[in-house]
Amino acid sequence: MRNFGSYHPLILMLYFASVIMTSMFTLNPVISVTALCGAALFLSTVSGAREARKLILIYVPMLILFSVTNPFFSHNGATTLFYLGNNSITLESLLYGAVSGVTVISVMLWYKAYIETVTSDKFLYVFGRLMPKASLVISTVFRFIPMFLRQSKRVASSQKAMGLYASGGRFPRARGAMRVISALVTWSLENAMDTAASMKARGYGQRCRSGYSIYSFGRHDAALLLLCAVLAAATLVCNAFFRVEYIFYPVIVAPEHGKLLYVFYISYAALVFLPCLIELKEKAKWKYFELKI
Amino acid sequence: MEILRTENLSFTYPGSAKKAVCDISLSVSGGDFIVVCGESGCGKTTLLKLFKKELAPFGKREGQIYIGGVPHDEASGSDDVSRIGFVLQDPDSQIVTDKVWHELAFGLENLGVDSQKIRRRVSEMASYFGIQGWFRKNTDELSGGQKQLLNLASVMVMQPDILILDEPTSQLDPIAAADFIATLQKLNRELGLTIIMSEHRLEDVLPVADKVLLMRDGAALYFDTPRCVASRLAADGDRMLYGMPGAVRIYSGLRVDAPCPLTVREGRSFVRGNFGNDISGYEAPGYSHSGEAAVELKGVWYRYGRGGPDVLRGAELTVYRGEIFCILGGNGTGKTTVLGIISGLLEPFTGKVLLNGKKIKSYRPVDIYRGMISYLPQDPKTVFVRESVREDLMEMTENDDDEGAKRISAVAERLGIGGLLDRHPYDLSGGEQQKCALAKLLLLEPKIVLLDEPTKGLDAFSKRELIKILKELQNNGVTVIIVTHDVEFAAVAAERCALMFDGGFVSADTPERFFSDNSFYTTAANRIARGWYHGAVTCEAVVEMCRRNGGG
Repeated sequence: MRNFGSYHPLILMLYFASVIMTSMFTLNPVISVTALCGAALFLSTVSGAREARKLILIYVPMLILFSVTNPFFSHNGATTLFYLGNNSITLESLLYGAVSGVTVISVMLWYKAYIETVTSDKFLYVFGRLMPKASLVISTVFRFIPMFLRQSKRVASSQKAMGLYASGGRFPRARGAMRVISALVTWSLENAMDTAASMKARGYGQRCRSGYSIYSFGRHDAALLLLCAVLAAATLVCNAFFRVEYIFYPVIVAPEHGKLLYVFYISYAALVFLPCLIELKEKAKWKYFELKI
Repeated sequence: MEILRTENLSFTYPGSAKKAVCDISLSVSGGDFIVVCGESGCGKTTLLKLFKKELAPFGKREGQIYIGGVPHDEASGSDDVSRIGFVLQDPDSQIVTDKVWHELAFGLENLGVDSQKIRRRVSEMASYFGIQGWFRKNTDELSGGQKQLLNLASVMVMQPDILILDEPTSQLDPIAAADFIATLQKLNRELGLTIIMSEHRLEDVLPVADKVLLMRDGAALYFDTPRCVASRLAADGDRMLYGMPGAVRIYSGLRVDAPCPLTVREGRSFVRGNFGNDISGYEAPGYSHSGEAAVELKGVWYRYGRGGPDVLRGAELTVYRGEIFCILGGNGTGKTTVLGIISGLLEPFTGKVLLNGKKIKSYRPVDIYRGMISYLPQDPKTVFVRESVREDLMEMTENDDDEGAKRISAVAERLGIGGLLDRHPYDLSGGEQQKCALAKLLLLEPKIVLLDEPTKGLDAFSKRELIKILKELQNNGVTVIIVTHDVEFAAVAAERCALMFDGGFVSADTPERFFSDNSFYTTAANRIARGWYHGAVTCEAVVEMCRRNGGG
């Protein structure tokens, strides 16, 4: 199934970067709410409605907290709602808190979506294209860490069974732990020698290395890249040539209505709902195929 | 066509007077399957590594190696790399990367092959070796057998002409090992790949080999077809016989003028053709126990983690004082878990564990681990924490005075490790490590010794030595509980065997009764004697039965 996560990692990373950046740096309630809805919908199609509900239960109180607390710290704004002691609580400040709260939460949700779709190996792959040597090192480290942890558990338990820690006291215990660590260092060196032999036996360091990955750039990827690029470029251009931001202080000023503003809204909404649409389309397609069997 | 030839090949390690490899001349034809065997430390590994230029040890080499008619020194580096594939012993340490697909591609990446070609070769190999199911997994999640298969596949991806393997199955359980050898045989038969492998487990390998190179002290004792080598060993009564398949050992004990059988099938027709079965029941020495239970498990349930599956499901077990008890069973049946529970390292969530009739919880840790129970885990390396064997043994005596030294030398003499005391534990062979680790445990003067897979990676000779040591411990009143996959070992060593299945012990009985009732999970000798002599499970028993019946 060609779901959103199966597209080329580079496209995915560019996609998430453009969505998150736009939402983060544009102070506009329409944009914030769109981003939030997009993320929530995508997450609920990927990880299920139950997961999404759990997220909402965590984030709604946070949103309320943001909008309620902002007026207590920021007293800017012309429209005073009421006075709390000597401080005025203003409408502008309340709304500013709400909008930035939505923005922050939408960014957090998008980041979660990013973690779910761009797993560590995909990130490493993109990273490795830039720095091939470093990526091999990271790969060997990722290989070594679980092995080391397992061995340390084994050594500790066989030492325990020989009564090394059995006779209590803090000092003998610490000395025992030191022994275990030194044994582990020896083991690591032995292990590394074998690994080095295995690398040399397979020609490591003889010629210039090439990089291989299981991710290929296909027709679908090109199509998605093109679509994302057009949409992201549209939002960027609008952002550059038109004031799309809201001004909150001292009074709320909405951006002027204009064609470019609508282009901005529509292209960003399209960008944000794209993964969710892809997921739904694929699910529907597969359901249909399954029914045909 | 000749693919590999050595002429008077010798090798000496720096600082050593003895030649590790001594004057070996041999010729290998393309498509041959060659098995190199010999006791640990006979120079097998050194010889194999000399064939692969990148792995050749540092030292003085004499003589010449020709690969495909070209002297080894003149071959250009990158040709050689893909020409000869090398698989090492330890499945874990030779894996370089964290993903299965990356490991497969690693060798080709090193040669600078382009992505398209790598993709084709990697997918081809993954399909051939049945790796598709775990292609995207982390290498760390694989089982030992899968890891070794991955190592083989990631060498085969480079399309070598010669495949060299250094004891590739020594760390695997018998089922994974048999699978691995079957894969090698398939490669040899279907691709005409030349295979040179060193191996202890000759039962499976010998029948499929074209030639056997038997080494002793660095020199080639025999280089001939398996049948010739086996019959010559049988005629000499050589001690390398211990490592030979059951059929060969039975043949050697009888001295009949017939071709030497190699497989169980040949062994069966050899015994049936040459000996009668008027006396068909083998009478094993009687079994009696002391009546005092050393270890008892009563209704023990255990699982790793709250949500995990039950590993032990109401396990019941009684082991009597002074007996050698073997626990057999497949992978993941909870054999190691049982040892963990008996030693108190793991705590069952319900059920009773009794040591000498008293609850394990009523002992203090010091009482259990100093003088009551000793536990030798699968990897003897985890026992050593110091720079030399002597220092490690000294850990256990607590006092550095003469008495401690006396006890160490007594144990060292008993286990025959006197010459190893000043070596680094990691420099020893598997069998030597096993003995030194055992020495360290015995200094605690335990009443109960627990061993987890003690024969892993041991050659046949070391196994016999281990059995001797265990019998001696038994004579001193020590109870020995062994978890093992090795049925041949259990049949000789154990007084009683039990099979673990479905979280419990299915049956506990003497080896004769235990194995003679099984048809698959039994020794080669028993499979040979099945239906002819009842109750004979060891080679010695079959030989004895044949002698008593005489020619028929």
